[in-house]
This record gives sequence, C-alpha cells and structure tokens, in this order.
Amino acid sequence: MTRAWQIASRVLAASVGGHVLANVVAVALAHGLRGPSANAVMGAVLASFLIHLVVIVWAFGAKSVRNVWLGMAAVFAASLAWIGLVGGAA
Amino acid sequence: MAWLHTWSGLLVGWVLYFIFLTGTIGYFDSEIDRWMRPELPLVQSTVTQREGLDIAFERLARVAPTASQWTVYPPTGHDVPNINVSWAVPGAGWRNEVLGPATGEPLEARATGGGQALYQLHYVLRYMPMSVAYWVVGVCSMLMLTALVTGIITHRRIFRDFFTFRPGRGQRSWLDLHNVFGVFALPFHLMITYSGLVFFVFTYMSLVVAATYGGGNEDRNRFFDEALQSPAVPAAAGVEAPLATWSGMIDQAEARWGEGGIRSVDVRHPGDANARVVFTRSHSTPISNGGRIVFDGASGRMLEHYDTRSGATAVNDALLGLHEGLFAGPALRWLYFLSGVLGTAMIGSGLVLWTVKRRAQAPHPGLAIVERLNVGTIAGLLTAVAAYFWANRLLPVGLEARADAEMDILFAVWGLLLVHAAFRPRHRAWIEQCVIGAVAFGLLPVVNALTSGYGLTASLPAGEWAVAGVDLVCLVLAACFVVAALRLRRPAPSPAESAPALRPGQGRSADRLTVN
Repeated sequence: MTRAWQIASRVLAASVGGHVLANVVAVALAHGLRGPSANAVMGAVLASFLIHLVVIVWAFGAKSVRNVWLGMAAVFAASLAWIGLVGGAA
Repeated sequence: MAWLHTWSGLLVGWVLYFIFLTGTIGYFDSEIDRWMRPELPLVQSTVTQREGLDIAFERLARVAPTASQWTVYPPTGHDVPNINVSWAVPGAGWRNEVLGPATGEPLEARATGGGQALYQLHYVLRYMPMSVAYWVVGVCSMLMLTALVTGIITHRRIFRDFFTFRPGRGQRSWLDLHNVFGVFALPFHLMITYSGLVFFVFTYMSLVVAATYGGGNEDRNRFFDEALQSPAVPAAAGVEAPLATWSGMIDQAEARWGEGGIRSVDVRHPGDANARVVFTRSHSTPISNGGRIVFDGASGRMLEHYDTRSGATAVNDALLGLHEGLFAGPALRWLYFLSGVLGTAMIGSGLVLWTVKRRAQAPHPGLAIVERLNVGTIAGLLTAVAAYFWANRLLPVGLEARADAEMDILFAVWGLLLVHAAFRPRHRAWIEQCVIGAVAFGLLPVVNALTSGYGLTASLPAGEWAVAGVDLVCLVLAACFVVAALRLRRPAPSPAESAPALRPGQGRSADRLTVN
C-alpha cells in the first residue's frame, strides 16, 4: 500500500470506524450483565468518547493498519454477540 | 502520533480558536450582559430569593393566569442578577420577561445579544442550522481531544519542559510557549473538551439510546425521564384550585438547601387541582443542580425530594457543572477564565508553530494559506469581538433587529480582517492587525464613557467592578496588542541564535517573523 492509501485507511478507521465502534461498544456496555437500564445507558454514553479516542490513537499508533481493521471487526462482532446474549436473555 | 497531533490540531485549529475564545469570554457573560445594557441603573439593586419569587408570582398571576406552565429564576447573584420569568401559552409557545428587583416591572433596555449571544457562539456558531453547528463543534471537539492526548503522548519530557523557556530562539521559543500553555492548564483543557462533548452526547452517540430504548420520540423521552430522574407530573384535572402559599414551600426548600439555594421554580398547571411545583437546586456545587423538591400545588405538601441525582446521572451532572462553572465564586471564575485564555493561546501558538517550522523547511504548499488564516483569526477574531462591543454602543438604539446587527458586525469585521491578512505582506499584516486591535480595544472605554453613563469614571467610584472589569480587560487586551506590535517591529534574532538544527543557508528564512 502506498503512503497515501495507508493514511487514508487510518483516517477512515479512526473517524468513521471509531464512531461506529464507539456507538456499538457503548450499546454493549449499556446492556451490562442484566440488560439495559437508564443508569447503564447514561454511563455507557459518557464513556463513549473515551472508546472513540482509544480507536483513534490505536488506528494511528499501530504498525499495520490491516490489523487495526481486523481488531475493530473483532470488537464489533464481540459487542454484537454480547448484545444478542444479554438482550435475548433479558 | 506527532503526525496525528499536527494534523488534528491544524485542520480545525481556527474553529477551535473561535470556540475557545468565545467560550472563555462566556465565563463573564453576566458582566458583559450588564455592560451592554447601559440604560439600566449602574448600581444594581437586589432582593432575596423569597422577595424575588413573590415579585415573580405576583406578576405571573397578573399577566399569565391561564398559562399551562410558569418558570421562575429568582436572583442567585452572579448568573441571574435579576428575576427571570417565563410562561407557556397553550398553542403559542413560551414568553419571557426579565423583571427588575427594585420595581418588579420588566426591565427596559436596548435590544442586544449581550454576553449570552457572544458565549452561545461557541456551540451554535452562526449562519447555519443548530443541528449542523452541533456536528461541526462535535467533530472539532473530538479532534481537539485527539490533539491533546497525542500531544501528551509525543511529549516525553512533559515535566522538565514545563520549566523550559528559551526566548528569542524562533521555532524553539514557539514550541516552549505551546508546551507551557498546554501543560499549565492541561487538566482544564482535558476537562473542558471532554465535558463539552458530553453536552451533545445523545446527538453524537444516538445509536445507544435507540438500541436500548427504541428509536421513536416517545422512547427517547421515556429514557430521559428515567435517566434524569424527572418528577412525575400528572395531567391537568380541569378542576380549579388556588395555589397554596409560597412561603411554606420556600421554607422547606431553604431548610434543605440553605438561603439562596434555589435555582428555579417550575409550576405545572397553575390554578389546577393537579398543579405541581418543582423546585430546582442552585449550582452551589458542580452536581447540586440535580436536586429537586416536588410539591403538590394545591395543598403545598412535599411529594418527593432529593438533593443531588445519583449514579451515572450524577457523573453527567458533574461534567456539565464543571464545564459551565456556574458554581464558581469570583476567584475560581477568574481561574476558569485564565485557563480558557491559556487554552486559546495554546491553539494559537500551535498554529503559529506550524508555520514557523514549515518556513524553515522546503516550501510547503499550504504555508501561505495557514499564515494568512493565522493573522486574520488569531489577531482578527479578537478585534472582531471588540467591534461587537463598539456596535453595541454606536448602533442606533431604535434599530430594527439590532441584536442581530451587532453580531453581523462581529463577523463582517472578522471577514474584513481575513481579507486584509490575505492581501498584505505577512509580517506587515501582523503588525497592522496588532495596531488595529490595540486601537479597537484601547478606545472602547472612551467610546463607552462618551455614549453611556457606564464609563470608568462612574463605575470605579461606585465600586461596580463587574461593569468596570469589562473596560479594564479591554485596556489589558489593548496593552497586549501594543506589546505584540512593538515586539514584531524589533529586528529578528541573528541566524546563529535561532533554531540550531538548520541546514546552512536557511537560517534567515527560519528567523521568527522576518520573511514577508
């Protein structure tokens, strides 16, 4: 990959990827252990910018941007699985 | 990380400078409100909250007996110096009035945006729908947070560098300044940026509520009622019942929160058998504003109460409370203001640092644009704020849409100064804009004295520091512009003294502010 593509890929991962992942991880956090409550949703949204920030630093700090995308996909899938598990049980 | 720090800061640096500058001014919004309404008596009278509530409800019963809701903000000192009343007219929206404590009648003064419109700029911007502005400010804030954190990561010697200042060394000096501004108030910068994002968290992270409570308006409201612990208010019964006397309710509120501890009183369905009176607690601490007492309006009986909210909502209250700083007394308020000034200076020095560094290297295509935007914004925006104050004094009092005209003048002057910066040689542009800024701020106290009774010769003997303070800060800013202009006229340091890591032959172009 050329340097320009590398940077474009990192920017995309940090901005759009980070925003989507922050939302989805926050939804998973909001589900907690026993399904969502107002308190858990509030706590999750307050933490959501931290999640986004971690993704941004990760996207630019990692040696390989490919691994960033793969890692993000894994966290995304794990969050969805958690939401399905707790949301389905609740 | 250095790359990310540079570009996240540069990309929206001027918007961030605008947000920090206008937000910082906001810590003195009430003082500016007063300064901008010179028709009001210079010496403010005030009343106790109990007297203020009496005045407010007497007025509301007279002008809005059929309203579906009354809201009253009694005087709280700094933030609410007068008595603010508003009421909902069924089918016609909200009306509001500001009552003078001395007369109990609406205050009459020139139409002006005041300090409120000035401080609201930092999140509603202007000339765009609010929903667009929220996203612009949100994206910029996220980039600010990124710049702060990556700045810390790149900064390995954060403690030692804090004590390092190498003046007269071109790029090194700008780097040292940028670091000092950033590190000195770092906790403030982190707090203000993160908490700023939290204000619109439900817009930026809208999926979270939608995925847990549902996407409809009713679902969202159900979440907010639960999360914000909103008191339950029944529908109007349609049966008339006079409101219980206030004094008993105020007694109970003051017993819990102390005298002056009330932020607002909200009456739902006044005059109805199902009336509810909701007392909100004042900002005496960052989280106290979450406190509520609910009374049955007809009987005056206390139905529910809490002094703060709990759980994550208390954290939310704390973040918003810290951001607004309404709990701060005079000393802490100045600390807020100075921290904001440091944040603004950190952004400005970072923008200048980018150009000083690039000038020392191979020509960068964006250099000219960044240099021009720097002059027109770092110096120009400040002068535009002075123009806003000039407009307040010089526009005819009877002018139509006067408050809007004041604000349009701010942006017109900013635009003119950007154009000026674009067409003048860079170094000359800096000097000229510093002179313009010095004149604009230096003459403001004079214009004020000539056009109103609020001049320093009146406000200082009266001991009205809130009014005099606006003039005095203008004089300080004028002095800063003079110092900057004088420094810019001084010959630049010799090449040997400036940034040492330069290749031979490039020393001249690396000198601070010598290349036109």
